[in-house]
Amino acid sequence: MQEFVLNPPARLLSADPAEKASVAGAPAEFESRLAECGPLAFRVARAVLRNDADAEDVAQEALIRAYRKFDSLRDPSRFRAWIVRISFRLALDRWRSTKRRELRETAWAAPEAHSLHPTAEQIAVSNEFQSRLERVLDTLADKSRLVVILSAIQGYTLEEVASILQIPVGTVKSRLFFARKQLAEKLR
Amino acid sequence: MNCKQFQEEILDALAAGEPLGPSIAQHGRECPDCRAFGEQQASLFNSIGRGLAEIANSSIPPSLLPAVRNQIQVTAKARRSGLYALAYSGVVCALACAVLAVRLWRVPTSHDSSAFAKPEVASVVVPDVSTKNLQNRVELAPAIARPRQTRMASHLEVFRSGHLEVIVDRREARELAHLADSVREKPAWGQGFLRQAPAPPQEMTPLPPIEIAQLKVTALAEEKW
Repeated sequence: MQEFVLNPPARLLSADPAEKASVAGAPAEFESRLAECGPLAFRVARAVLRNDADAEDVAQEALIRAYRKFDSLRDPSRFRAWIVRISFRLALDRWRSTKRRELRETAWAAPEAHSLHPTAEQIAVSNEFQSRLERVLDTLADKSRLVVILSAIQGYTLEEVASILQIPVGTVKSRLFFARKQLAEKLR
Repeated sequence: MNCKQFQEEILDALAAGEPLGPSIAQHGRECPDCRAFGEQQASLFNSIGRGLAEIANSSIPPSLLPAVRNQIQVTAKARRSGLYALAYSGVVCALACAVLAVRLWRVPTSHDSSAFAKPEVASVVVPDVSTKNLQNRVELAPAIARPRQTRMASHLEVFRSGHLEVIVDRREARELAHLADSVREKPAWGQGFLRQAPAPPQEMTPLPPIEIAQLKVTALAEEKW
């Protein structure tokens, strides 16, 4: 009886050392972008979640999703924007689900008392300021929050933020302006 | 510039991250309350900037990229094995379809000998009456003349007349036998079952008959090139 043997695709049997050196099966282009975009994805997620473990999970998930869909990305120059958006969306989803769970589990507890209204200088010198800032940051609109987070990341200019988000620099400036005013107003 | 305008202007300047204009700075020097307000707001915006930087510039855990690479490796392996499984299942399906098609083509559809027994009239031969008494070419009526089938079911029989072969079932075989008996008795009556073939298109000019005797035949050896 004749035996049929299926030849595996040539691409999978490639003995190219450069390809073997990278992550098995991952395109070399993706591997080269991983080192740059991995920290960015983590920082965006961390700024939303304020929890290292959750942020790492989200960043990993975002990068794996990007890897799976990397072949369908038409414009490779938009990879960074793509990663940022995926990471931000995933982080927001997780943050909202966490908030809902916390609200459900602590609904019976008495609300926190905020009887004292310290001045801005007093708040600024205390750790309370940071937690208040985080809470106020959560109240910003998603678009404004992403702009504030990206522009706060060290090394990113407004032009780079604009190129990441694929929006004009003027839009970045205006979103940042209103977001900072809003933050100051709520923290005052 | 009054104090209200000063407060609005200084808030806008601080929010935009721009330096203070000369008129704002002058009012701040002249009005101690506005100067205090300005210093307070500048301190607040500085604190916001520092707080945001602290939020956004957290240290990257060293396990992040290795973990991503591991997951990518697992994903790549799963994808590769999925591709192989898909290809193998496709080949197996194609082979199974091919084998099934060959078997269906070669094996008769039914083996029930009692239901489709060989007819008793199988040996009856229809007399050849198609061209004997007609000038033009004739063919059998469509009900009798069917195209020859290469794959024959067991309940069909082959009848061979003088020049054509038809495949009929048992009932048709009986009718054909009856017809054959009738035609054998009255050959002229059998011509009623024949019909004339359709005439050729009018635009075609018939070829004049050629008598073989008129052809000039030359021996092959005498041909000249």
